[in-house]
Amino acid sequence: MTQAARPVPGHFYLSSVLGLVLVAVLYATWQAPLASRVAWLGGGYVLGVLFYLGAVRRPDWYWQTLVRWYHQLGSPRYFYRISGQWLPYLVVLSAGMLMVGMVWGLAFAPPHHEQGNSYRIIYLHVPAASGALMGYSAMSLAGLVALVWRMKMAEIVIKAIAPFGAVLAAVALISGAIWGRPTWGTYWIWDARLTSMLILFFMYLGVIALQNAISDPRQAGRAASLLSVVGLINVIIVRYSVDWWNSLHQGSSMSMFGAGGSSIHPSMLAPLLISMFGTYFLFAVTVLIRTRTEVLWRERRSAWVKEELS
Amino acid sequence: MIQTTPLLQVETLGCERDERLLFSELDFAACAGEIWQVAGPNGAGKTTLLRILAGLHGFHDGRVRWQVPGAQRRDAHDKILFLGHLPGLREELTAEENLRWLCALHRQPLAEIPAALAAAGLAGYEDAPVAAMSAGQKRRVALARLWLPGKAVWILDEPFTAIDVQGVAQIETRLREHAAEGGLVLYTSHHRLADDIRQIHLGGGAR
Amino acid sequence: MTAFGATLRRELLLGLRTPADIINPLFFFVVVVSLFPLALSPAPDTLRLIAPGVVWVAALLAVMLSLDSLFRRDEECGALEQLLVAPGELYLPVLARLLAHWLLTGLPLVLVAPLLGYMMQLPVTVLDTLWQSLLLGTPALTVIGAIGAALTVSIRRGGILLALLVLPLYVPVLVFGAGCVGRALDGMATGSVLAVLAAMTMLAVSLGPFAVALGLRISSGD
Repeated sequence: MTQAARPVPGHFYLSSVLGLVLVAVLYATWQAPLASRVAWLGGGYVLGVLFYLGAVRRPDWYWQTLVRWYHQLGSPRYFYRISGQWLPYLVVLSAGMLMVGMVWGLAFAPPHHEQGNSYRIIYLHVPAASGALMGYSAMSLAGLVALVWRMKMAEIVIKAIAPFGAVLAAVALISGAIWGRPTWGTYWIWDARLTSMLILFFMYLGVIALQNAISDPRQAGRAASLLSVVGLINVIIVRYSVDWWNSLHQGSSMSMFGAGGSSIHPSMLAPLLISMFGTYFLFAVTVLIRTRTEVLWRERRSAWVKEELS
Repeated sequence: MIQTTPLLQVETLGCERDERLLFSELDFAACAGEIWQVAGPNGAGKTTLLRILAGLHGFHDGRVRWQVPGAQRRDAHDKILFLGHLPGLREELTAEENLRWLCALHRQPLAEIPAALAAAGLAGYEDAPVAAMSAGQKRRVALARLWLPGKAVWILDEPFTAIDVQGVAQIETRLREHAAEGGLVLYTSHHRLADDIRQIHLGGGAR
Repeated sequence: MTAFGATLRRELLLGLRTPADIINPLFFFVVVVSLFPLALSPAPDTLRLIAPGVVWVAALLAVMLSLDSLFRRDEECGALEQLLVAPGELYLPVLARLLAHWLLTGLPLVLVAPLLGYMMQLPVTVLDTLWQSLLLGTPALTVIGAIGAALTVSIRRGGILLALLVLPLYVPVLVFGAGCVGRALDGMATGSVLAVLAAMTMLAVSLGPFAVALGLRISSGD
């Protein structure tokens, strides 16, 4: 990237970024539940401020930081060292947030005005479902990096993400079914969200199966990368097509957040957000641990691993 | 022999397959006018080395650099002829139909296919289905591409398999002709052509 | 001759020399659809209700099963590596290959579908929508399935794996394809749904061959 030493029009950055964020938020939260609207707005606000501060001070800072991270995290040795430093914090964060969020949500949050106490399973279901979706997006991003730049670390990360993502999708499905029993009177209904989650679960299984079927680890990693990138496009299209399909067949429109899908009281929302972020951190912890193990195995012939393990 | 900049430079090449180290720290430079034999025991990675050179196998350490005059891209695919240990012919098609597809794909002149087949000892077999051919004849159909112009570098995996003594001599002559015209030949075989040929010994080291 | 033309010619020739590859998926399609009246009931109302889904699922499975051999035979004889070492982009030869495959296996399904729809008691007015939806949808099925076939070509006995990889990717096409026929059955307009189907096929056909080419390279070890 060229480095021009001209003053940065900060207002230009600010207005364009905030405009984009606003459009994205409006689009994403159209008829969406309040929880995701708040999450999007908050996240967008923080990102916008960060971007503004950085853009005004040093226009090329983002690019340089990105390039530096790329090279550092692409090196197995550096990754192993730095992830070892992050890990304790992440473990504490995820354990703490999950504990607080779950206990608050399950024991102290007020009961739902229609569903009573049965709604409380959202404190498990929603974090698991959003974690599964996030995980697939992260996996596809890693896949794109692996395909375009042939980064070995990205191939390893894919292998680390897939199983936990599949587990989260399964948790979301099972908790959704358990919630469905008192709400719909049956464990399974072809509800749009549950159906999308089922497809996502199948797609995780596909990635895992493909990886296990190929003996060469690098070939397996790249094959899984391609499949997950294609899969992400599919996940997005599946979401819209399943919504359309559901409306076509007049399926259940009952949402976990109540009829209409947009009402959740703030006192229910706070513990939900906390356990959602706790789940994300838990995801990060498992991915890091699995990645570290795989790094050690693949680099077992190198001097630094022998040094590390001796 | 003309001394030029090397067409192919291999630096610290190493490859691991299925968690087994095939070779490592391989260095050599091959120039126009040379014939290189890749030798070594079974399972030493001869085929893998040729596949790496042809750009088919990307999981390796080190560098492979092609500098072929007239090549359009860095991988020099338009100047490389690669013949794998399988002949690459579909049994349902005739010899000529197979070669027509290969030539169109590899940008070689279709008009010279009958002459090339004749040079490979298969005159009159143009319309014979490959299914009806013997293993040696199939190999000859694949090798007929050695008589088609346009490729400076030949990478041949076990070209002499199933070929009779006469045919081996004929192909050997063809390889020498190609080298004399300024081409480069890399091949694997247990059969060594003559003493002047350079060798890469896998499970040992270069030369 | 260009790489596109030569590949198209070769694939069509191969298809004509081994007619079983064309007839078997078609036969499979017909047999699977005719199992449903036997399994459920011959009552016309029941059949009419399930017909869109049954015909579409059967077509989808027929396309998928025909794909396992798409690259495998070339891989076994070494012709695939000749394709991969060819100069230039793989996009056009791969596109030619997929086009030939669709002409040989997808198009016959489209042509037979109205007959099966009729046997499944669909009203004659709906048959048009049936073949149109298949005409617009099956190319996407071929291309998406080919991505899976490219990724599994180096795996022995990859058939079941191929299904596991590809079937979830088929969901949107199935939803809109069968949904479109279902709408026609309910007497609603289908133009917009057919347009969505066409858009999906456009997306698959324009980007898919890149993914297929990349999948083939990955399977060869690159």
